Amino acid sequence: MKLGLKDRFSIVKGLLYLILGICCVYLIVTGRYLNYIAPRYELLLGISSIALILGGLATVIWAPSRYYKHNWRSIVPIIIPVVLLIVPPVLVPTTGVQGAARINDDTNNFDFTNDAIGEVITVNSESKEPGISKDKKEIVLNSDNFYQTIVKVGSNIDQYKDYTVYMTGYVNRDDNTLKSNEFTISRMAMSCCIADVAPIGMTAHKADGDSLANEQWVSIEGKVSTRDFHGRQQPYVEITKIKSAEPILGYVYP
Amino acid sequence: MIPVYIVTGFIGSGKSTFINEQLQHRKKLGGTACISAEEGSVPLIKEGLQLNPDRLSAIKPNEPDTYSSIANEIASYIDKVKPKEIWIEWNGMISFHQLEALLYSDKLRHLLQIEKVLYICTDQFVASILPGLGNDVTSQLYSADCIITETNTHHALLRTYNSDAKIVTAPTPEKVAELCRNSTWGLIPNLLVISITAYILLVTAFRHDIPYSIHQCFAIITGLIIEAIPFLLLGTIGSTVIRYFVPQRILLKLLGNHSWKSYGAAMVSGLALPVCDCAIIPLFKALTDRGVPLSVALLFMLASPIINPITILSTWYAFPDNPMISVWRIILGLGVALLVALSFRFIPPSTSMMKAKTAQNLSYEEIVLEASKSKHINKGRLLIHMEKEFSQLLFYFSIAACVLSVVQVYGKPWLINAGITLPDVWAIPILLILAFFFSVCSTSDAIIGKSLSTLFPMSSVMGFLILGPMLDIKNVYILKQYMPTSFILRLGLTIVVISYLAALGFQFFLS
Repeated sequence: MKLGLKDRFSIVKGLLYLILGICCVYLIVTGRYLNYIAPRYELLLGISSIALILGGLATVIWAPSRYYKHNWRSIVPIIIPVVLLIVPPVLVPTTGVQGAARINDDTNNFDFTNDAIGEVITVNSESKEPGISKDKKEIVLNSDNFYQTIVKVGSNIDQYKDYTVYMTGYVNRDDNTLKSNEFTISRMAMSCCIADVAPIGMTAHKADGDSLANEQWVSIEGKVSTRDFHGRQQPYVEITKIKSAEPILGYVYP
Repeated sequence: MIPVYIVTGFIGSGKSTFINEQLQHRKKLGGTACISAEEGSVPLIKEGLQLNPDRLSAIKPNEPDTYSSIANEIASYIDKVKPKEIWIEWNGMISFHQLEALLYSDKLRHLLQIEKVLYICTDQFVASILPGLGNDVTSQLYSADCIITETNTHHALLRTYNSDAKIVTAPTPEKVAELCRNSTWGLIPNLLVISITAYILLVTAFRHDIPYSIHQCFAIITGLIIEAIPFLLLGTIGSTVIRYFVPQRILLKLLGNHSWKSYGAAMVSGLALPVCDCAIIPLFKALTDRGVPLSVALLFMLASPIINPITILSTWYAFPDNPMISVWRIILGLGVALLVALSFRFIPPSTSMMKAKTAQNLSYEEIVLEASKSKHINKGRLLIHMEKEFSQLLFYFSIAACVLSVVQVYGKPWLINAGITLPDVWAIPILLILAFFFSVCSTSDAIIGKSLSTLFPMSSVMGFLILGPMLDIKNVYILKQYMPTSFILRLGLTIVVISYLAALGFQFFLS
């Protein structure tokens, strides 16, 4: 059938599906999907975007002959995601606590010699190997193992007591039960999608910790310790070294 | 382009009289041409081109050869008369799509522009003849911009055929002339343009002037939709496969009586049916129509969305650190479904309550396909079905995502700052109400349940996960097309009470 005889509304609808599929492919290729959903959905999203593109093409190719009346309601649900993806809202708040696609990745630089906060430290001039090292009794957190490691340490606290921990995060004072020189070194975690983003981190203590501003990014070295919290052993980090850090944009995922 | 006014309706409804009145009122007889496809008793005052209904009903919209000679005839008539406007009296028994094929043909589409479609009907026709007529008539009613009736007795019934036409009762010729001048550009396209423009302005020109929370709302809506698309697509494909490729007799053999075997099969058949709650309801209707007992069909309808593999998968995905949530959701969900179904088994609804009530739920594409009387399942039909189902699901999901984003961005901090720690007895009813209003598809509600779990205790989230698949706005909306309101009311109340008890049980014994 000639294009002129086909239902124009169906063609528009098909094109919208096609655009939606292309938007999803774009999200995956640029890695921007990580702003919205957790990485484990990548494959599902990829398959869906191919399905959307094929469906859109089929809708155009198999469009019926022209109709007089158009069911406008049927394209509303496709227009919504297309518009939201093509003209996205601002995803990064000014504070830089959570953010867009990983622009500056973690450097793993736990060299405390060049210290902006003013402590005098002269150890660790090398960047650390991420993960838990039983030999060195070290725990080094980065974006990829942040969530898992914190959950692991939290559930086997006796095993990791007195380990040295290196981590980068922001100072989070949301927890009202903490004292003024205590805070949580946090990162924003996304378990499924942007709707459930919440901070996760380790409680830390520093004698003069009240001088640190809320939401300030820091890298720390500290010792894992435990304390009694409502009858449960809770891990916390006794900070030994601290320096200010570049904010790491991007979420951590389970 | 010559404006074309199409008047249609069942034979004897007064189309010719109506056109005559209009022509006299408009005083443009000289510039008006009439085309008639009906052999009525009242002649038109302006004699026009008479088309033979038999030739018209032989039109096949996908085969231009079947209508090119008629199109040529009309084109040469127009060329001879050179009218300023054309009134077409269309035959009440021929599909509207055949007229569309004709007027949008290569020969005519550059000459003519359909301005208005008017459907004329008598009360007696709507009450007694219309329900028995096929999709050819339905297609005319669907396409009408204006439906003209004698009294307003049957407006509600006509609405089920056409939800957005103007229905007017016995209008004067002046009123009709005014209706014909009004723009056809409806409410939804206007709203669409306004809201898209407003949105684009908000996030581009004024992006720094609006609070971040508004951006956050939009970001959350986007995130939820992106996350749900794969599951909605899977549900759509699954339901299409079931609808067109699984023979009904196999279902009947399994579910035909009140035995425990039937109940068991009804419960677990969801495992093989990766369809979402909205796709199950049409199957429920088909099952009861084919003689499956009501309680068994109900159990099937309520249990399938919970036990379906995509739901289980997404629940498991949403609560990666607590797989027992998925297990308890299945056990409690099936328990609630069984109890509700048994309540209908032992206290059956009265027959008057079950009085059949049917309405039109087909899109125009489907009406046209049905009217073409081909029982052949072709790729076009599958595609139309899937597209419709997917866009409907996505529509309800988007609404739910909007509500949820507002709750997340504004409701959550407010709840936390207000320092109200709700006792669990209140949290459960609140989430049951939310489950109803969010109307999230069972295949993706676990994701929303997960984000709610940071706000509410787990027992109430469990209530949310149990009730959501069985009862929500979209289920009620779809079910209303098949079942009387009193039945839905009873079903809803039973589900709410039993889900509440299940969530309470979960709270006291399991969490």
